[in-house]
Amino acid sequence: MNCHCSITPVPGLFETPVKTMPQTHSKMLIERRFPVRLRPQVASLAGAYHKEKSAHWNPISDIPWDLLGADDLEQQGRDAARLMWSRRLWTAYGYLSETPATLIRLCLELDRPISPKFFLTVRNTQEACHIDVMQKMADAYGGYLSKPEAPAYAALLNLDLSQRVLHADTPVDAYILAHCAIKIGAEAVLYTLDNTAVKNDAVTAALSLISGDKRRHAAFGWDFVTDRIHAWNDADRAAATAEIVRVVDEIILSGYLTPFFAADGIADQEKAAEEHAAAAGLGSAGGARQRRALAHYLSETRERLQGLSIDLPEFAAA
Amino acid sequence: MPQFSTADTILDAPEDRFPIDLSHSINSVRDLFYAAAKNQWDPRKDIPWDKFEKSKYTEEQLWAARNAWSRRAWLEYGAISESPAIQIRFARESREMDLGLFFTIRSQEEARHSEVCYLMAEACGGYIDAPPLREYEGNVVTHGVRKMALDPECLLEALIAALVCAAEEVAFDVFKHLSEITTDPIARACSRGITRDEVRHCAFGWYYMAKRVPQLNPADLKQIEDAVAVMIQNVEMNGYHSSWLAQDDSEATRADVECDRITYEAGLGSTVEEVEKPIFIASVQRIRKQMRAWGCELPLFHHPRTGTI
Repeated sequence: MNCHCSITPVPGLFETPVKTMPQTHSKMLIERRFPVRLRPQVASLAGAYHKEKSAHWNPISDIPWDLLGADDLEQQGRDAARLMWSRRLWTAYGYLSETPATLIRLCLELDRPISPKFFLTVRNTQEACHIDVMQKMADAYGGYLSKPEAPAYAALLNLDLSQRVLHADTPVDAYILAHCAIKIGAEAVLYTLDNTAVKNDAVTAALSLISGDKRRHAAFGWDFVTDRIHAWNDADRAAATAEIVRVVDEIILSGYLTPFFAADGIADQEKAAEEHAAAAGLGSAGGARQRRALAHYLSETRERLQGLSIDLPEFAAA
Repeated sequence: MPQFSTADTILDAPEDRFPIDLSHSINSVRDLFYAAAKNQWDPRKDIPWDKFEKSKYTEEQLWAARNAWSRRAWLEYGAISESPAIQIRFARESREMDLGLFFTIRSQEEARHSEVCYLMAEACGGYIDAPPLREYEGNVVTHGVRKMALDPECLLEALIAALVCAAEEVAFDVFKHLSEITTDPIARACSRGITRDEVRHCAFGWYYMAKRVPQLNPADLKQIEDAVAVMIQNVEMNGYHSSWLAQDDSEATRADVECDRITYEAGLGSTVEEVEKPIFIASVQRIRKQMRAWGCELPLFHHPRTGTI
């Protein structure tokens, strides 16, 4: 670990503390470019890349924007949807730097297979499409909001993941398991769940495309680790466990992916907006269903990790 | 043992992503993103590899083409290893969202180009994963873009001007030229696919600079001039895209130039000094003229094979 967390108040159930992570100085691997291995070496990863190329979509033509009908909603519904989609964009924005940083990190590592690198380039295009859709949604509902109302919520979203993945002391396999497989898996769960609470075809189309992408992105993370696990030793497993705990604590249960896990007072407006959106069928499942879904997801993930001889501790909020 | 760099980078400052301001946009760049999203192609599916008539070519020609396309694959790989750092820069500096969105698909296209070059080398008998002679590595190993992108002292506009408006402009002209002179239909399809994507890559740079130049001061413009001059003189005129421009008279360079000649004569997707030289000179002259409109005056460039440009 290259960062140390300082934890402030004692949280209650489903409340997580605000954490501060001191910034470390950059320490990057120096690339040895040759040999440039472009021959696919791992069938599952090559398959994931080829599948991903076929899954491309277009934010303009693949969503029936004319069916959104944002102007037909009452003001409270528009405001709620506007804030919900803006909030989603604030999180998605992180991938514009995290994914290229992960790609660069793999290129800096010695003798890594090519398919994951190629895969990440396609993933990032899809993440850009997500952002474009989120902006269009927020604009349609009254205008994108550029930041959270509460500075503490903004601070929580500044996770600096590009710095973390590029830092030479961060084990990249552990990072990919924690962030690509588990974190994105949690996003897939949330987007899929939210899509069960929609009454609008345009929103359904958007959430279907985003959740489908996230499911494949998470599957890639697991494929990546499955290929690597045979070479892991106890120290690698310990590093992976630490990184997963960090992701669960600071991302999945912190309010980064959904405001319902943010500590009281940090994201209250966002929570209220998404509860209203849930009641109105605008594209959120609401806090109670999200909590249950994530608890179930973490339980499943814990079992899956046991298959890799990684013991994930229990989390209070899950 | 892995080696590390602890140089100062833009990552040393904590992330501060808010406000994520979408009000300042470059619509022309967002349109490039949409166009690229609409015009995706897959090297494995959209090139009719089964129609490649390998038996038409001699062993020598296929060997040369393997080398030429492998070399090109290394260069395209460099774009996915280095250029994504520019995306990090866009995000860190809270630049217009359109830039970050377009650059995602630009990186995907560079991956696609690397893949198509690899597949063409495979079709010719097998991709080669490193220069046979190590001294040649220096000509193709890096254009230094990752370091520049993460360097807080390097002006982003200088980087875009050097990488996109200079190096990518040269690359576009190279692939357009290859599309025109390559007679093998499969090799030509590879070149054309790359050329189509490169059009957008170049447009991105000029659109972005058109927006930014009015806000730059003379010191910024000087930094742009210097960065572009380094890219042209030290990278392009050292054989980065075209082996005949490599300035060392080594066995490795001579072998590479010979491979290009044999590949060119077979119509398999390379070019030679006497055919490409006027195109390269015109590229540099055009870049100079277009940058003059920004208030940048590029120096004269000297090379034993081109003379002074």
